[in-house]
Order: sequence, then structure tokens, then C-alpha cells
Amino acid sequence: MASSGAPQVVLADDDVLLREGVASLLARSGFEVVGQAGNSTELLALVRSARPELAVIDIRMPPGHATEGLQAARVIRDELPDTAIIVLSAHVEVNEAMDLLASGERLGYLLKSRVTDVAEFIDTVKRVTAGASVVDPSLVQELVRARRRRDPLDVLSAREREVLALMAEGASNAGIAQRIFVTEGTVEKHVRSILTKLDLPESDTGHRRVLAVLKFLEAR
Amino acid sequence: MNAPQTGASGNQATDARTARNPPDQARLRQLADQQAALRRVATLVAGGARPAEVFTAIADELGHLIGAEATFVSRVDVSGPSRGGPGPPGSPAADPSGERREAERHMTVVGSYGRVSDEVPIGFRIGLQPGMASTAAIQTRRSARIKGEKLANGPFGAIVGKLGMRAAIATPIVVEGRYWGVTVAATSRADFPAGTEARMADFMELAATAVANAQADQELRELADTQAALRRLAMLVARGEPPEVVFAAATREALRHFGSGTARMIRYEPDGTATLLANEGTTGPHVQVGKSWEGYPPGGLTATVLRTGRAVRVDDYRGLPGGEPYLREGLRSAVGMPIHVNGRLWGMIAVGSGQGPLPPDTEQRMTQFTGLVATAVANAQNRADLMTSRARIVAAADETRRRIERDLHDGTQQQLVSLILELRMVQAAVPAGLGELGGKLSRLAEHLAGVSDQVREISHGIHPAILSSAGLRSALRALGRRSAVPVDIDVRIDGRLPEPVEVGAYYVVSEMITNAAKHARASVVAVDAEASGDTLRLCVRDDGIGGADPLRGSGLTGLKDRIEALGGIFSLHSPEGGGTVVSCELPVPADGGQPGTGHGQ
Repeated sequence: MASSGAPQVVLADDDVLLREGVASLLARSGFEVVGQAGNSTELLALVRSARPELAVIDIRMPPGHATEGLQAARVIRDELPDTAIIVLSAHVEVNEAMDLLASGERLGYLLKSRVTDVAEFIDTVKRVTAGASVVDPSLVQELVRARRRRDPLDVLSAREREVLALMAEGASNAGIAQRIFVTEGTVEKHVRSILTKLDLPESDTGHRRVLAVLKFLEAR
Repeated sequence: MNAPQTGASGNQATDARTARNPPDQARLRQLADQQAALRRVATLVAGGARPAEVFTAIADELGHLIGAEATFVSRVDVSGPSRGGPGPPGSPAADPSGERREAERHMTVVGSYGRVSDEVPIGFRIGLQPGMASTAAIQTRRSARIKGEKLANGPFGAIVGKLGMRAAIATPIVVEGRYWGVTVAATSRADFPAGTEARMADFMELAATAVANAQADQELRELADTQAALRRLAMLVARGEPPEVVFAAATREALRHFGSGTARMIRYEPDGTATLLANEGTTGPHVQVGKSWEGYPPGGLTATVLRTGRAVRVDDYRGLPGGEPYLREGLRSAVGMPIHVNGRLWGMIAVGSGQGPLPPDTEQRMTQFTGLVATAVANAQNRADLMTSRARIVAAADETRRRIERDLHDGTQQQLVSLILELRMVQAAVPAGLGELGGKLSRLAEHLAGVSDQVREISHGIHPAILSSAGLRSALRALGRRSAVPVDIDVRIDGRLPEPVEVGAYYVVSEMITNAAKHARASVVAVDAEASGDTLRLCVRDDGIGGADPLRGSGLTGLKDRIEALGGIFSLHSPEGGGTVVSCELPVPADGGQPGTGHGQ
């Protein structure tokens, strides 16, 4: 478990072609793929024996092709809470995101197609392995763009909205600064302003910040 | 007091009316009383009183006129053989042939007055037996008197003894030249005065008009009642009530009109079994509505109607091998009518009685009723079949959409992602000197990523996967977030609903939101959904320009079809300039199965 070199990864997907693709992508990007599984039973056995630092899990797997991956992720969370988990899905839903995030940190919930944006995907995997929680931008966009008659987001400036969305995606202040080309200090000012305007609590971790912002956006 | 036991009533009655002797005071008063009594009866008839009231009034007036404490008016009929039409009422009276036919004759009390009305109520039926004044009156076509020992030891002995009656006179009632029935009067005095027969005959002859009118009225009323009953059944069918409701209602009507204890409906199944569809009245362990109807005797109604396809009667279950269960539930006799649907024997409707045989015209009276019940039953069944098939079609279409969505997600899109990933690998492997090639590969991968996004959107439109995975509330909230018009959503649903209901409700909201944004120019859409008990109520309203025409907008028409296929109610209200409101009520079957399915065959 201790990272003495390349972080160890386990992959679970019943689509062998795609799984191999992701495996070779990760292998070339400094990860050690220690095992691959085609369903959640194999996945759980593999995780229990190999104790990887990260599990990348397809949400729909045999036998039901429903949300087997979610359930497997929950089991891993219960048994080995330090394992980072990235759940990949053909479509993203806010309920699933909140459900997963509620189970703890080091969590990624992404559209499957994100793997094709190679550089960004690898960056996300590294961030999650290092402790961040990440939510797919398309889901955050859906939440932020949802139209409301009396929209509490109306109190935010356009730049603040942008920052809020990046907070929800799980970006750190430094990450946000990089993305919108400002200094980290400026981002901090935006974040404080947003939290005050929306009456959201300060969060001591990135994970809690993601959860708080998502909850706010979903309930608005 | 020493009058003859049987009076020669006919001549005396004639004499009384045409008496040439100067009438004395008492005679005059009697005539005036009689006129007053007849006037009261005629007034009742003219006022549309029920036949039972008219006959009871006749019994009452007669009792007062001749000083009897108990009187009743009864109809005499002949029980025919088990099948075949009944003979005209009273006609065998003209046939002096013999005891065998006499034994088949019954009388039914139609009006009862005085102390006898508890013991011999309206509807009381008894066979005409030797030793009864009524039998003698019918046989001789004259008034008959019985008293003392003879009365106490006769067939009515028990009742007579209980009431303390000591003399009785029976007078035949002739209506329109036919022997219609008999009137019986009894007294607790030692005997009636002489000439009572004549006065009874006299009064009954004049009352016969009222009897005829009341009878005609009864027939008309019966017809009207039957028509009303059939109208009620037709309404049930038109309202789309489930077949079981129609079966139960038809059986209830049969009991009300023809039975006097029990009515039940039985369906013959293609595999030779029978199913008890409805039961009204008496019951027993063998009576289980909705279950297979078993253990019926081979000579009983169910078996015989099935074998012959014709009306069948059992006059006395005591004489039927295997009839014990029916006796135990309190039945004595029954009539079964075949129900034919589309030229095929579909089932049977049967009525039963705890007393003597059912009136001989029961089959005849039930024929029209049963014919029309068959129509109602056929309609209910057809409607249920149609509903089932509509629900099946919708379910099949939904299943297809779900499969396509899954194929797109798990197949096409997944392969696209694999392809793009591979392209990215190839791109990464391009030597540094071939920058142009690398750029081209990159653009290709981006194009393909765009295609992948499109596939995701398309598959979402075909079937929202969130509906299957997270349920209606989450799916509706997601719909609201993606809407171009703000959507206020209030969903009060605990847990999950059956899939067809969730899908139906989802499409209603989805279509309304699309309509609000595209056509209605609405500024807000409100969605209200509440599941309580066995119903999901859904209301979607916008504040747009209204004027949505379900006939032109195929989207809204499709919604109506879909909701109705689920057995639901869909209503659209969209006045010009007044916004658009869609309200739906969807049945939520407790078993989670498909709604709108009846017991098809």
C-alpha cells in the first residue's frame, strides 16, 4: 500500500478492449496496473488481495449491467477506506455523485469518455490518488446551468460562478488559479466571497468543499 | 254462523248485485263500504303504487269488509318441467285432468294483511295440496270454506294454530277471463257469517280490474327496472370499470330481479374448468369468488348448462345427488341461464331461492336480461383485452427503447471511447518530426469525442437511464435541470413505483417541459406529483400562451394514449392565453405489475 514508486492500480470493466486501453494508458503514465477484473466479484477479490492505492471501476458491469460498480465501490470503502476510487459511467447523475462522495474522500466520479482526454484524465487520476475528490464537469455544468425562478446564484458575479463550478468539480485553489489565469490569492478572495454570499461553511478539506457545493447546487 | 262449508258464491254474488228486494240499511252500508274500499284501491293504482301495495291494500280492504283478521292475495302458477317455457298462469285450472298436474301447482303470496302477514309474507310460496281451501277454490272455481278440525289438520295447520284461526275462505281471482290466483281470508271466530263467500267474490270481481292494472303495471315496472339495471351495467362498461366490477354488478341485479336468496356468475374456461366470477346472497365454503368453481354435481346447473347450452332449473336440491352443499348454504331451488358471447357459451348466470321452486316464468323473464348481460360482459371483456394489449404494446415499446439505450451506451459508445483511446495512443507514438500527422490524429480524436457525446445525448433521449437507476423523483429533477424554462418540482413519492407508471409520468413531464419552452413561451413550469394509496396524481402547468390542441400536437396525443393504456386518466386544459395544464391520474398496482390488465382469457 505504501507508495514506494509507481502507484498500484486495479481496473474493473467488462469491456476488455476499453479496459486494456485504459490499462496501457495508465501504465505509460507512471502507474502500475496490478490487476484487471470483468465484474465486481473479481474486483473485490482483487482489491482484497492486491491492496492497490487506486481502483478504477466501470459503474455498469455484469450480471445486471445496472449499478454494480457503485455497490462494489461502497464495499471497498467499508473494508479498505484508504483506497482511492474512480467510478466511470456512461452518464453522470447527481444522486450517484453525492452517494459516492458521502462515503469518503479520494473519490472520482467521471464520464467514461473522459479517458480519451488523456492528459486531463491522468491529471485527475493523480489528484484523486493524492487525496482529492473530483466530479465530472458535465454534471457540475448541469447543476450550475439549471434555471431557477429565484436563483440564489444570481448574487454571484460571472467570475464567481466560474470559480464555484470549479470548486464543485474538485479543483483546489491552486488548480482554479491555473485554470482561470489568476493568482491563488485572487481565487481565495473569490472563494471567501462565494461562501459568504451563499452562506456556505468554510471547509477544511477539498472533499468537504466539493460535497458542500454540490449539495447546495442540487438543493437550490 | 251455520253456513255451508263451501258456498255457491257465483250465483249469490250476482244476486247480491242485482237484488230486487228493497235494500235494508245494513245492505246499503255494506255497498257503500265496498264502493269506498274499491275507490281507495283504484286511487292507489292510479297513483302508481307498487303492486305489493295494491295487493296488500286489497287484502286489507277485504279483511275490513268481511271482518277477517288475516287475508292474503296470492298468484297461482304452474311449475313447468326443468326446461321449456312455462304455461300461461292459471291455465291448468281450466284443465280438470288430475292430481299430477295439481301437485305441480304453487301459489305465491303477492299481498298480505293482518296477523298472517308475518307468517305468510309477500313472496311466500307453497304448493297447492289437497285439504287447502285454496286448492278447492282453484279446482272448483268457486269459493271454498274450511273450518275447525279440517283447517287445523290441513297443510296450513301449524300457522293456523299459531294464529288461532278457526275458519278460512278461499276465493278464486279471475282476471281477464283467466284464473289468476286466489284470495284467502281467515278468522279467529268459530266461523264466518253466511254469505261471506258471496261478498268476497263480489269484492274480488270488482277488485280484479285493480289486480289487472297492478299486474300490467308490475310487468311494465319490471321491464323498466330491468332496463334501468341494464343501463347501469352499460354505464359501468362505458366508464371502463374492470370486468370483475361489471360481473359483480350484473350478479347483484340478477339477484334483485329474479332471485330470492342467491345469484352467482360462472365462467366456463377453455380448459373445461369453471370460475366463480361473482356471488351475491347466500354463501358457503364452496363459494370462493375469483377461484375455480369445483365439485359441482353432474346433474346441477353448472354441468347441465355447460352440456346443453340452455336454461336449466333445479326445483329441489334435496332431490339432486351432490346437492348437499347448496342445501347447507340455504338454497332450495335455482335457475341457471347460459351466457353466450360471440356465439360461444361463455358462462352462466344463476339465481336461487331458499323456498320452493322459483316461479315458472323465471327463465322467460331472465332471457332478455341474460342476453344483454352477455353484451355487457363481452364489452367489459373486450375492453379489458384491449387495455391489456395496449399496455403490452407500450411496455414492449419501452422495453425496445431501453434495449436500444443500453446497446448505445454499452456497445456503440464504449467502442467509440476505445477507438479514441487507441487513436490517442497512436498520436502519442507519432515521432516528433511528424507534427502535422500528430495534429491530424488529434483532430480526428476530438471529432470522435464529439460523436461520442452525441451518442450519449441521443441515448438519453431514447430512454433516460436515470429513471431505471434512481427513480421518478431523481429523473424529474434531472429533467428540470436540463430545461430551458425554470421548473418548480414538488414530488411526494415514497420509494419506487412500477416501471410503466414511472416511464409514463416521466414522458408527460418531459413533453410538457419541451412544449413550454418551444411553443408556449412560458416563464415557469410547475410539476406536482404525489403518490398516495393506489394512485399517482401528476399535474404539470405552465404560464404560457395556452391554446395547445391535442389533435394537432402529436406529442400530447401520444401522452394521452400512453396514460390511458396504463388505465389512467389524462386531461389537458389549455385555453388561449391561459397557460397549459395537464392532469393525470395513474393507477399504481399494489403488486407492482402492469396496470390496466384485467383477467383476460
